[in-house]
Amino acid sequence: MLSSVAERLYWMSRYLERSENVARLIQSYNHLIFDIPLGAEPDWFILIEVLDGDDEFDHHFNQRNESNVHRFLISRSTVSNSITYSVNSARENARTTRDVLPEDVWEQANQLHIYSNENGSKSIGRRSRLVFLEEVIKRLQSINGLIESSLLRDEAYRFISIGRKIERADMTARILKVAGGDIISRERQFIDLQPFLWGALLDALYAKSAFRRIKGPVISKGQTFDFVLNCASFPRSIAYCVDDIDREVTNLPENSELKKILRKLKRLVNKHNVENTDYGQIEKFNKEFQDMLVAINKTLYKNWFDR
Amino acid sequence: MNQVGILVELYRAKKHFDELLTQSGNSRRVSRQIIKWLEGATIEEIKERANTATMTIRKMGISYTIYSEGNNLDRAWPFDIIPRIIPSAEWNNVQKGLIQRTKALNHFIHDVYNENKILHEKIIPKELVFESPNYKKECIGVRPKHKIWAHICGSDLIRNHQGEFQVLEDNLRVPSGVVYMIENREITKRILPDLFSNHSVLPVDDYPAQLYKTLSSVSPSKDKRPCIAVLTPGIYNSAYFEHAFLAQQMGAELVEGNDLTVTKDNVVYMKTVSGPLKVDVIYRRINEEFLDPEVFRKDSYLGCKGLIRAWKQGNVSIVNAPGSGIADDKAIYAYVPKMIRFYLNEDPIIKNVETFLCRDSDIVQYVLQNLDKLVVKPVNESGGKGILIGPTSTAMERKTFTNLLKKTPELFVAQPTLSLSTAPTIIQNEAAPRHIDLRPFILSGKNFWVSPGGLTRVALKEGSLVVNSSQGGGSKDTWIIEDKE
Repeated sequence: MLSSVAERLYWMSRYLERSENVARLIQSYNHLIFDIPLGAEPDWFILIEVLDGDDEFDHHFNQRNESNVHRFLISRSTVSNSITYSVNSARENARTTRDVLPEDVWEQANQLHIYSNENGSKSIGRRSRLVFLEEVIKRLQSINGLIESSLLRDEAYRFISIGRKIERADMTARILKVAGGDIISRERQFIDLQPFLWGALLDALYAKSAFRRIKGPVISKGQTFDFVLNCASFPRSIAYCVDDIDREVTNLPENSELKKILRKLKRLVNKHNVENTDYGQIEKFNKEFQDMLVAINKTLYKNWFDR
Repeated sequence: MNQVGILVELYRAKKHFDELLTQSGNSRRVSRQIIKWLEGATIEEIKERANTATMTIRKMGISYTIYSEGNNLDRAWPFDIIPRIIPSAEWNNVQKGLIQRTKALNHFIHDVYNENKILHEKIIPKELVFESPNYKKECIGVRPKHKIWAHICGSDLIRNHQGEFQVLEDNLRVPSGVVYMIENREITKRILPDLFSNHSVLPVDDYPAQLYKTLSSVSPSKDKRPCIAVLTPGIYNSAYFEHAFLAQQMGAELVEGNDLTVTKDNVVYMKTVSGPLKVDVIYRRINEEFLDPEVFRKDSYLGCKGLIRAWKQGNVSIVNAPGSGIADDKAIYAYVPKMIRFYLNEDPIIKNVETFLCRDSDIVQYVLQNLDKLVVKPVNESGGKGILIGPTSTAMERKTFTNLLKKTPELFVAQPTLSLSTAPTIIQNEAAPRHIDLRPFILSGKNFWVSPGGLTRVALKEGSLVVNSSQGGGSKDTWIIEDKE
């Protein structure tokens, strides 16, 4: 596999995953708003904080209000974490790698691009945004389905899989830090709403029904952290993502450097104390975790993409 | 009901040959069904099918790019839903003619870089070859496998008033358009399934497999599955879609210049995640001037340093070979019939369009006197640049060309105003005659192969003869079918 193609597949996959994650994040937050007593809800701006987009947001908008937040996350094609930007970038990378992808992947990525560019800016209002998000998610899942069901399990698949899991673990860690941190910081204030708020966080990670099957119907902070960090059988948990990256890396040539980082990463995830997590600990965990993702990315470039 | 109908009176007045209708406005034998369908169709139906075609093209992401449009990388490919039909008996003959022509052109290229027989025999004036900017001294003495230089040739055919096919030009450098030939068929199958299945049309989707065979047959390595790379200038190139399509269909790697390196011992490698991998055949889709900054343009970042070294050493095959452009020079074109007689000892099956070489002082006088009737073309340009179309030219333009012809007559050729055949084309929901040409693709390696049909391009503006997609041209599906009584 050409190094340059591997690099583009990796980014195509990250952008596909990112657009789905952002769509899901907005969607779950919108559902939360309907269900929660007025005053207990976190600010809309928390969505921007999850994506570390504070400065970029303030550069684009004067007011941190609901519609600007959605404009920023959905339709601004110049914003690096918006759905439209991610979809466009995924499609550009698919365009330049279509010779190794199943034919329909390009066709569908192209159609998704047409859809989101045509409808994104019309989908800021409360009613239309949910329809839009649902459609985008459906289309992204169909692209992933195509990749899963018909892409050859060779290097192309490996780099796609690695990209997807890195992006996913990254988003999971961010949501834990920002949304989890927000819930913890107001723990005393809304004691009755705790299960409800942690449930919303699980929702944002597609994790609620899986959580119930493993841990039962009662949702608590400790159980939520344990599940999202350590559950070995849930494909969106951090432990699962890291294991999966490790599995794919095993099949790549000259992988020892990356294997070493992954071992460190596993230790970091394992040793995190889930029961008594406070805000400081989450922040520390997230910082170390993000640093390691950066290290992984560097190693990917050094050993494969820049060869 | 709003019937579409065919504007028969438009046809009666025309002196051009029409592909689907006779002079009296009746259908031809092969076009009977399609004309019947067209006459029975309602405007709504036509509209709907044309819209479906446009939607399909957009969804399939079939696009081409115009450099000047900046960030807009995609322009949907304009497609006309009425197919152009050619009877198979007639096509068989054209096919033979194209193979004959391509063989002669390859003989010629090999000859001018090696023995120079045709020049010694004075069949073609020496200076015409040696003074052409398309003659590359770097290629002298190179002997590519099977003595084939132009492995992929796209010759543009037109029909004259009598309906006879003629070659307008041969494209031997990086001919493009083949993907549209294949995709047009896909679109037709989706929008006219009933009509399509009533005809037995020769399939066109074999092209990538044939191309793969051709490329493999010129590989310098004995490997059963040689490493083939399609070298593209990147997404900003108008034919990027085609490069990606062909790479995918052949299972070849789509590479850009910086994916390649040439070692000191003149071997080409591509950079892969498992380290360098040796490349056997490069199907290059960049112009040769950009191929190798060591030899050609120093400022090129599209190609790769050392490619020509590796090619001359016989370590890699470059397709089409550098230097092939000498044979699609417009002045050389005039000599192709003579080449066929010289190298193959055969009479040309397909005629040339009559061409006046202005380098001859008598001829330039004739051209100057008849400027308003002729088309004057520069010898070394392609893509319709710098042309004077006599009948529609202004006095000012003719004056400019008079000066040019007096100063540098050797840089120009002239031809009678083209007669392009027409075919019914949907224009604002009605079928009206529009001029078309045809670009078949001829593959040469160990064996020869011609695409069944080719890409039919259509000038969408009334009366226009310009079929280039960058200048308002569209395309049609081309059907080769059995001509049954």
